[in-house]
Amino acid sequence: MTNYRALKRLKKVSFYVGLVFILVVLLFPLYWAFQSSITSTRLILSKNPPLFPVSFDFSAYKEVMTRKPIFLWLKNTVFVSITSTVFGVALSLLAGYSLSRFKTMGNKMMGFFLLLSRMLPATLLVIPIYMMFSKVKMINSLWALIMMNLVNIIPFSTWMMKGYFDSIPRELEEAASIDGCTWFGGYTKVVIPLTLPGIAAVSIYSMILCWNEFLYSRTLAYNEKRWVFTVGISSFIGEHSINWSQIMAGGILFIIPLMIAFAFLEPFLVRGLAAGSVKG
Amino acid sequence: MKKGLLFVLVIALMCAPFAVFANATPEKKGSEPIVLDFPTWQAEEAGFAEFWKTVIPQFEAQHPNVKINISQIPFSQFTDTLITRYSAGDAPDITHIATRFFDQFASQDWFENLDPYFKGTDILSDWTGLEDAMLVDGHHQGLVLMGYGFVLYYNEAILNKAGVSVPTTVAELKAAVDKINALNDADISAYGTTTTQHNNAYNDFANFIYGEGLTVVKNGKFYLNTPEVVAAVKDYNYVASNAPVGVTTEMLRQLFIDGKVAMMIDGPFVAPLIEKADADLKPSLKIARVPFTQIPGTISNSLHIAKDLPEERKRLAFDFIKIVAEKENQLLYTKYTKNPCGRMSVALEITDPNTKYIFEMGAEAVNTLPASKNLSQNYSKYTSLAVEHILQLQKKGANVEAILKAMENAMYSNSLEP
Amino acid sequence: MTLSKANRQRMLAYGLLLPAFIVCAVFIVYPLVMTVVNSFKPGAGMNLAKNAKIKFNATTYVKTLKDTETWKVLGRSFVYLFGSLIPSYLIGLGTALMLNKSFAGRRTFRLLMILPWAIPGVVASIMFMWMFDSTYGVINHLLMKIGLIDAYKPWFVDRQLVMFSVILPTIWKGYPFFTITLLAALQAIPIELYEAADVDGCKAWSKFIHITWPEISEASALALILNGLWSFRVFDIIYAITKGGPGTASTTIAIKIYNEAFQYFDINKASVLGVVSVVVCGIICLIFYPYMNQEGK
Repeated sequence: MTNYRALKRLKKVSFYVGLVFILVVLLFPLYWAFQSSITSTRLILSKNPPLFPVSFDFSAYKEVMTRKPIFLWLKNTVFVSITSTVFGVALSLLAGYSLSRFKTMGNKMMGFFLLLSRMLPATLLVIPIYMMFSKVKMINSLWALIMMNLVNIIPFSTWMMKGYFDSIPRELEEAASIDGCTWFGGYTKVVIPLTLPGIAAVSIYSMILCWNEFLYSRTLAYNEKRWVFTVGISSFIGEHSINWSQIMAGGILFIIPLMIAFAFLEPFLVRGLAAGSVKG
Repeated sequence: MKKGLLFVLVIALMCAPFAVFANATPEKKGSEPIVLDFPTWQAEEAGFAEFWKTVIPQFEAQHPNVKINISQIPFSQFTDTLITRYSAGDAPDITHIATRFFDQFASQDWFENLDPYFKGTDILSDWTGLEDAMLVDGHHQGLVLMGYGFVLYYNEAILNKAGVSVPTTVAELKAAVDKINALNDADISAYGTTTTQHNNAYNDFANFIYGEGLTVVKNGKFYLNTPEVVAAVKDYNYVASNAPVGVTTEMLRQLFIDGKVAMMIDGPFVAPLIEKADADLKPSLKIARVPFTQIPGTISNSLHIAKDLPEERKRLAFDFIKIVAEKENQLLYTKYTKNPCGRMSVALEITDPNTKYIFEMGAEAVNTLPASKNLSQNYSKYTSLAVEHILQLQKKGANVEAILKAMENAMYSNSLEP
Repeated sequence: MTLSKANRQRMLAYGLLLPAFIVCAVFIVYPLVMTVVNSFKPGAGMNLAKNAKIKFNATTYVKTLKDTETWKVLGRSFVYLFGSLIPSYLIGLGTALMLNKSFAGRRTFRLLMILPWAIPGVVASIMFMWMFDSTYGVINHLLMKIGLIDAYKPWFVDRQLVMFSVILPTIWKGYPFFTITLLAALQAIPIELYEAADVDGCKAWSKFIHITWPEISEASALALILNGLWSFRVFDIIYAITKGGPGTASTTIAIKIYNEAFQYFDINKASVLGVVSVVVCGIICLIFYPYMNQEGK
């Protein structure tokens, strides 16, 4: 029996080794960004760059946090991202359910149109969109960004939610309606809880999409008071030079709020309520 | 029938935004202060920011009911944002652009003819000759703020180690490159230039040509395949093939102040960057005249006024330009930014020797923008196509004649006749 | 007058879908119409007010479709698309499978695995530009130290290597999407299925083929198409690193459209290419639409 246990332990160890190896390879660029933010460019851009931190020079972080209105950028980004995600996920929940349960011609066409809206290259969208917002005087308003984020989020989120709804058998809703629930009751009490991992995934996806959004943010909200984080970071690229360590520092700081949001949403990704729901 | 109703409802909802957008009318301007919109990438750049913050209050003092809203747009997206705004019919009141895009913008009929405004001022008579680049169909459509001549940046420590003095001719430049290569230091490149697909890579190529008194275009034809130009480009190939490969202009400048590039030719605006170099490197990083018979130069940026603005705003915008062009302010421009300004008579009043030197070189400079309407109106396309071939010219042992011929043919087949 | 059940159902269906649809439609219809209109106006520049005077004409379509450069660009777009999509998917699947198991520190690993997604595109591009720099990059340094290469490689400068080199950061930023999506799908698979298979003595590989794969195939197809649509149009990463160069060696259709519009001011050609891009994407979508629109189980 020791053979069996030894084998099991070997499997476990090799699993961890594999995991760590993959992590190292995948996260190396991030590690290098951190390394670049605390080491001088003279050392980093050389034939023999130091692979491990030799000097912990956090002056780039200090510069970024004191000289630049980084908390303003954060405030704007958080406002835009959370609002867009909340509205976007809500709309997608309804729309995705519709696409999953009803197969009318109109639904098929509208579903296809949602995908179509993602096929137009962004550079051709920018000028007409600017015109539209300019006419209603919404340039430099964060709500313009929220609306464009919705346009970005909804097609993917709707189709992704459709996929998650597809995996919930209709029998459950029918059982709920037999028990006396209205459609909406069944929807909220039975279906939604089962798709929580999907909702979490879609929310994370939407947050990241909004957080990373750059093209519309820089075009529609170019006023410094309305800069979001991505536009702020790009301001480290000057006309004649780039402030390298500050850009890397900015990039690292940029991820931290997202990590917090993810830590909050992550438990919902875990199996829990989904297990054991399908019986015979 | 319900389906039909629903269909109509959807179409109506989709059309509603058009109605809203089409009917939105501009607000009436009562006695509220007029705000002039002035987006620029220099609102926070060392030296330039001080200048703008000095002239704007002067303007506002002269015009009690008018304010100028200067806003910072990161340079990397400045031109795109400006293009979007102009295309969408929402041009800013005061337009500041990098002049290499001037002809392109002007070709869209976007700029106001400024000659009527210049009449009665002394600006044109005391301005740099490069102002001629602002002529479109014989009329000036902008005011040059900064034209400059390229300078040679060198790392004295490396040159001393190789036993080389500062090159003053192309031949000496080539010899210096050889001697520095002989040091066999893998961490150091003898010469540096932009080696990626960016129109900055065009500058060095043009410098070697214009610096020897030649041109790219002559008598309405490409001059590229003449023996003199081929020889000049061979020199370029000799030197540029020592440059670190795949390096953007910003990376190149960083490498120079990190002591990894011995020599490079760039605009005078890189000098402030040297201030940021490490203390042990700074004393070795110096500036000299380019090793050419002539000083090649170009225009950096200029001010313009959009054609489609209301008359009153156009007048106010020009009043601002007038204030910028006043002698005292022009002197401040050079003082704060350490760069040549547009007004020529300021040269007599500069005391700082470095700045005076740069000013004189700027005055001597020969414009490297192509002397062809078609090429300058299609500047981006022209340089993009040229750079594709220039990147090949940066390889050791490149067949210069063949590449130059291919470049000329490519120009013609892409409707880029001079 | 009470509505019949069928009609009530239909109203419910549309009522749920319309809000989302309208939000998208409002902002897409006008640009779509403008793009199509501009594609029929040869010589149109960026001064859109002047363009109204140009007559409709399909000559640019003919010229563009005849131009071999257009097909080369489309080809490159597909190389970029599949070159980044498939490895992203595989890495995403692998990491999702690993993170699906319960082990100590799982939460931290999950957080770390998806970090590349969170980095802004502009920072990621600069990072990769430096790491893969031909003269001073750390990747060249490491690869030489390990002995995988014998000379520094010009990753972003060599015409043969450049597509591979721009695909790498795209994969890096793309795989977490698959990790998250597939992880959520894997979580929905009931444990009983695996337990039953264990009782039957099934091997891991056979469990994957017969249980895991069927359950996640629809989610996979969906994720692949959605990410594929994004990859086809995205241009930030390539543009920031190589601007489509050297020359046009890394110019995909998204980059060409940007260049034609914002660099060469030829909105007509840019719009033609835009329409071509939409048509190509549309055709691919139509082919896969039935797979995505399956009935729920």
